[in-house]
Amino acid sequence: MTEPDSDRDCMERLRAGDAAALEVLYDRHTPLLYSVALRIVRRAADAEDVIQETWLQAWRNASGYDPARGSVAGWLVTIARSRAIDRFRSLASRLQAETAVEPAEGPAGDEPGASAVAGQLRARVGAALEALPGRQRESLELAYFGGLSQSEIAARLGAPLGTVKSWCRQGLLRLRELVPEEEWT
Amino acid sequence: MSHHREEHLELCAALVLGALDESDRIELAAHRAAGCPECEREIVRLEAAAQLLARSAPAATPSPALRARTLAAVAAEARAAAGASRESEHRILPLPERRGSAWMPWVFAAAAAFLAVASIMLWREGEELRGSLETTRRDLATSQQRLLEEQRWTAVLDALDARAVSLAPTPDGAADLRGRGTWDPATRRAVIVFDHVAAPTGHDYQLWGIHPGGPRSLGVVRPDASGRAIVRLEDAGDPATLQAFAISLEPEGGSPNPNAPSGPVVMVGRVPS
Repeated sequence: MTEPDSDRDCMERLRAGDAAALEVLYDRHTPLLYSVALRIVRRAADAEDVIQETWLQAWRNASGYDPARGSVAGWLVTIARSRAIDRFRSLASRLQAETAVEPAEGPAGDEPGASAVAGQLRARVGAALEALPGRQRESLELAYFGGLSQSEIAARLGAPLGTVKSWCRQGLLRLRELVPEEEWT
Repeated sequence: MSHHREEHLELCAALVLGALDESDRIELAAHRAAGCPECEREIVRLEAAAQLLARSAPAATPSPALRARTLAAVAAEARAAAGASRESEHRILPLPERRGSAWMPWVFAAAAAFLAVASIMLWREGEELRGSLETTRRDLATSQQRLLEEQRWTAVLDALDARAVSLAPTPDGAADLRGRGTWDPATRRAVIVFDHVAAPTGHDYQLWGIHPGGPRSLGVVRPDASGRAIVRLEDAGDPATLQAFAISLEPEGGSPNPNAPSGPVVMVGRVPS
């Protein structure tokens, strides 16, 4: 039995066309989705567009969520990330992204309403990433947040492609080990 | 056909990071289409780690206006969708109702007799007209339906999010195999045109959607006499996970296993992310 407001229950309602369920999901997951989007596109205005597109897509495609394949949060992050990377690429192709720098907008560290659990997990994953060999970490970040392919990462880091491939897998496996499974939420 | 190698596990990492290079994508899709439990397990393991990466993004809060803007956009779409389904119910043009029987004045018996004859003639003519009206109405309804159906499918081509799909032969496929089409993640529909897909006697080509959870059958491809097939898919699969389309050569009627090809994968085409 699911709780009335559990993620999966909300997805059921969404699938049935109940837009109110989206509100619950929005409040619960937007902080994470926005953080990921901002990290990728770097500009608050673009990240906000990404978030709007993400929720529209989640609404249109609620039936595409398969509970057997993973959490609702994971599904939403996948949508937001691919939307953000699409956007970043089209921005980059217009040479605008080059001038944008660090995420200057949006208060960092202090999230009203966001759970302390999310903050703890962030710190834990951050520490785990720090513990990885530098170029392993860079490879993961360039792939996941930079949207680069492995051969692009190899060119960027001046490393052989085969080495980058092995860094990516080793890095992910190490991350799994360093963050205990009971802390993934 | 394609044997599992250590390199495939590395490709699984690239897959969950969204960092596969084109050639590797095809290699991995073909390998997975052949069914590899090791890689499927690895993908689940690594996918969880990739999700952890998402949690490392610095915390940020969007403007409160975004919430209102987003919820309003969704509500507008919900209303539009409801309106569109109502409208489509009424899209078949109503034809005028046929009129009731004519009023016949009682004046003289002669006039009555004359009118009786006349009205029989009119009635006959009316019946004929009514008959042809019925036929026209039916034809019109059929054409309308056909038109709506065609519009539904051409909408796949010009949908905002439509992605081009192109399938190329694998080393196991004949070099002249071709597949091109369009896929619309929003409606999940796809139209793919295949050339030279006349399978050898006793065999059929079968279309698959490749997902992290494994291949899913999208049906057997039925070519015309020239070896061409136009495949219209009402549901090509979950856009969040659909990675590639693949064609395998199967015994007549398709693979006995609905979740894995039994024969060689002869064509693969990735889905642009």
